[in-house]
Amino acid sequence: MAAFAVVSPLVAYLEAQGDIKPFAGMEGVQSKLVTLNFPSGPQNGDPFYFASDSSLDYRNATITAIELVDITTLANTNTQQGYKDNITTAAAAYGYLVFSDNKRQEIAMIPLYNLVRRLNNGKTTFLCLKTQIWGDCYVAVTDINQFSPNSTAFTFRVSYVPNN
Amino acid sequence: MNNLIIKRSQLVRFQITGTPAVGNKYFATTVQNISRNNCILYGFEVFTATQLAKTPQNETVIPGSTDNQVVITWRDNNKIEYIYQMPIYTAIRSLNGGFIILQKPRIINLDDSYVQLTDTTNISTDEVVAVNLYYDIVGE
Repeated sequence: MAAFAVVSPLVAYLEAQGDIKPFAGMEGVQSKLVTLNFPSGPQNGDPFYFASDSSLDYRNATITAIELVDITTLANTNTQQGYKDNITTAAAAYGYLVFSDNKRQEIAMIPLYNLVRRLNNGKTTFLCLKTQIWGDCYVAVTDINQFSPNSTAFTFRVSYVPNN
Repeated sequence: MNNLIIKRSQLVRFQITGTPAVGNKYFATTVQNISRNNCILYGFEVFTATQLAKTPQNETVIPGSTDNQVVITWRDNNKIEYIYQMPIYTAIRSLNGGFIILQKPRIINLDDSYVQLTDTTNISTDEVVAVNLYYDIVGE
């Protein structure tokens, strides 16, 4: 006898709208680690822009998920300035990530703490961004004293679907 | 089980102005681009200082220990309080298995939505309750 899935009308509606998807579902077709070093003389509120990466721009990809890799998940990462420790979750509470689109509108702002997968029962943060310019996206902090700019860096795991 | 997909998000703040008092309504700070009855809310989550210590505007977020002392009310564009006095604990993602609150998409009146305190212990003047809205824009 066939089994029937019980789906609420609201869940069916939200799925059809692209507002939700199963947390165990596909996060993306590809993923990559992206590192971000602090600029020299970082200040509270300054945007720390990502290096431009055309493979993550809207012309080439839809970003479907993102997570912040903290020091417990991965101790350190090879950045353009050599190996650096990843940040702690205590420090993550003092930062946020901003996505900007091709009109330089800020389309999403997410506190870093919420992007740490292990703190959220293993659930990643789903996105559906189709207008982003990666080089215009940035991280900002609200208390730079919580960070060690010379010895740490931000590491993100970005999942995406390349455009054909 | 499903979880929310972020299409657009906006951090909004509800500031505890004046001496904190039980029952007072502390309304959302205006956000120009979504305060014109043009925001279709489909999900939201709340942050205490555990998740976000300060807002980008440099306001201190209420302490994590006060997450059971605040309730939130959302009003729609017909002034209906369609979510009335929901405890914010329920909307803190890391306390609820990583899930984000989903709702039937609805146009909200942001400026008329508010939080209330049920206990003022450890909450100080000018602290904020930070809430991230996940939304679509009307007509987009």
